[in-house]
Amino acid sequence: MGDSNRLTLVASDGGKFVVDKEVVQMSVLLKNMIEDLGETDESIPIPNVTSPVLTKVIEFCENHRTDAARTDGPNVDGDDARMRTAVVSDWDRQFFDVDQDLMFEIIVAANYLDIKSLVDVGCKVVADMIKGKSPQEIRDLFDIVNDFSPEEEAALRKENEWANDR
Amino acid sequence: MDRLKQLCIEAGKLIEEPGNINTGHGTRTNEQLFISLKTILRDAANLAALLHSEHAPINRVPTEVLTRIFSFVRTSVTTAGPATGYSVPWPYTLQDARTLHPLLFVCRRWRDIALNAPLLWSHVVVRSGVDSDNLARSARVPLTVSISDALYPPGVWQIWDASELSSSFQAFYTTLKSIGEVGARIRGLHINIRKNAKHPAQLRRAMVTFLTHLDGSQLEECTIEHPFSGLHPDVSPRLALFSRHGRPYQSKLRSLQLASTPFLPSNEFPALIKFSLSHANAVGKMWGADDFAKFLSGSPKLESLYIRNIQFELRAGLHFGTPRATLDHLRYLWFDFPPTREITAVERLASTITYVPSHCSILLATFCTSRHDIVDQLLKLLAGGEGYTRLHIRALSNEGTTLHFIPSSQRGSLSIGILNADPANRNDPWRDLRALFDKSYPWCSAIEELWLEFGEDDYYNGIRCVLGRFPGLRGLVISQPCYVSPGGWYTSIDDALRLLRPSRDGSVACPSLDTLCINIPAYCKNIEALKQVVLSRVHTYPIRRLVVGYSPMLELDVLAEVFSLEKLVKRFICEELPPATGRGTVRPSDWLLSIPNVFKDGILYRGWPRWVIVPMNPPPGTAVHYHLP
Repeated sequence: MGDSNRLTLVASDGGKFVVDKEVVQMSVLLKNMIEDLGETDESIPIPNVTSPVLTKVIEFCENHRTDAARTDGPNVDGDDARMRTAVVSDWDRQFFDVDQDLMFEIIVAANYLDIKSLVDVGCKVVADMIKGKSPQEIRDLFDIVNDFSPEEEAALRKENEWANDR
Repeated sequence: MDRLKQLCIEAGKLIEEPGNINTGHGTRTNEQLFISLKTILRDAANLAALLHSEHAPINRVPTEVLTRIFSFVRTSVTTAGPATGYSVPWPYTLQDARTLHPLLFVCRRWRDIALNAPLLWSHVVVRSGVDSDNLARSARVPLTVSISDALYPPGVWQIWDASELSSSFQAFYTTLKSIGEVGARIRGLHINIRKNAKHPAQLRRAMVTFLTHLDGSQLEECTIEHPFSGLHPDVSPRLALFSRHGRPYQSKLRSLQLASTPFLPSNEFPALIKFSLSHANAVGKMWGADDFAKFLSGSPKLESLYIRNIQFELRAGLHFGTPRATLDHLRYLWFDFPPTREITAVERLASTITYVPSHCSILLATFCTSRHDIVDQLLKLLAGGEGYTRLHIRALSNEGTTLHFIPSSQRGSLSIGILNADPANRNDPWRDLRALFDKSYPWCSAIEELWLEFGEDDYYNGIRCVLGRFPGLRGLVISQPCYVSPGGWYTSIDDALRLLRPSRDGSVACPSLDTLCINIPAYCKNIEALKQVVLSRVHTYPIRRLVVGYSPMLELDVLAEVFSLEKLVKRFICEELPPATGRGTVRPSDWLLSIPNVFKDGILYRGWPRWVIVPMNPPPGTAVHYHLP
């Protein structure tokens, strides 16, 4: 019988991670799974998350394990209270100081595992990257292709000029 | 990828076609061939770009997460609320959606996501011209609307531009009409217009029409600051707000802040729990105490009432027979006005309410020390039935003095701000307070627990002024400044503490003193004065409980002296206090309050026993019992 306070997560590439249950329970998905499984030695597979990403997710959860009411926040998009409480610390910013590929994989994994604080911090970091930039600068930043037709673009340009005037 | 291959094959065929050939559907010219080729190549390029784009990391992010990212792109603007430049209890936050506009032009996916998320557009910041786009984008979601020019630096944007008088007004009027049409969706409404002498009567009328006709059936939070400068005979002092064109409804309004408005709503707001009224001192027609009593009666669930800079004393008093308001739920009453020597304003305000519940915390500011009897009058007027047994005196030389009274039940409190407004007293700010305590009012005898927190210059006179005025005192908490400054106040406190030592004729200040709490500041060279107090009383007026908080920067030999006090008392608690981050940045009382298991919520911890009367100088062998936790 293993330590009842710890459990093993298995990443999509087979990597195994032994973590405290308290840390894991920041994920609503895993919390529910643990409650359903009860006391068990079975490891929990995380099919959508690779080892490097899971490493980062666990690092975040361990750093934020003492945060209050971590899974209880409202999940309505645009909720004012959650908007105000999503604080990005210096540690969080350093945590997300990685290449874009990994940064978005972490956010997607957090969304899949339903870790609201990580999703919010990640979204806020990306939002800060976007703020104050023109559409072209945003495209360049995230390698997004402009898929508007020339006619659409002409119409949008007109709309944009009008919006900027206001 | 298959589609891309197919496009390439089609393009290849076209290149090999000879010009002007008959395709079976007519003859195709070189020009037509060129156009077809161009179209195919463009489609191919778009497709290639799309394939490339799919590999961009951000495009792997699901729609709901991208929406969340967009929601954070909005700029959060927290305003101080009305009465700019003054303390306002309830600031509000807006999410300005203008920063979302660039996202609409990045790519099709981003545009579709942003335009199909109505909540992103639920905060409407009105500027000149109709913000109909945001209103349309918000679909049917609840709205927070801000009509404000205070969110922008002066000159960037103003509701009223004098150089384009009529066109600006027309645009603003149209905006109000558009907002009015979606009134039933508005949950939060914030109007904050800066004072501008150029605001014409037209604007005032437009605002009044807007406010009176708006459908406020879903409104929960509203702040209005609109400086109606000068005379305004067309605005009634009692205005029916949010009438919904006469259709009745049950108001859901929970928070209402009015600043610089000459009117008082004539509505009943049965759900209202917070009401703030400030800077409404217009000349001419004014609402009076009758109106105020009626307004309060229509808001019986009121928990917080904040009145600032309203000249109650100049308004008509309560007429005989006018019912007073019953505010059973009132928990906080702030009444803040310019320094005065009278309590007429408080009396008039108090006359509108049947009684102030005993669990209510009352803050009254500001009185002048030259009328020290005001404190006695206020306590008689507002004191709860049980009286106050705890007093916290906070006197910082440049901030005036606060007397904070707490009843023994610890429910509710009364704070009175006193300002030394008399220039003749500048050199001795304690003269009038000394006169206040010298009178030995009955409330002085009721005080059992006294907290003292003074500025550096107040320790000598301050402590001498208060010690000895409270014969029933059992607990004394002295929170000293964080540091001892060279040649400064510490000598004074040493001298003042002598008062706690029995004199040769056997008299002593605070004969029932049972518990003493004090912090030892950094750079303190000795604690002789404190030691002498404890030692001199040990056989006659013993201090049985001693709580000492010491600075981590205290020298070891002084710390050893502190610990030597343990043998002189029944119970001794000594804790290192957290280091101060800088001189003056941590209130000394906060230092003391951080001692665990002694203080909680700003007062001695409930687990500590009530003061017990034990015989002074008990005969040898008599056991002294304490109900220690």
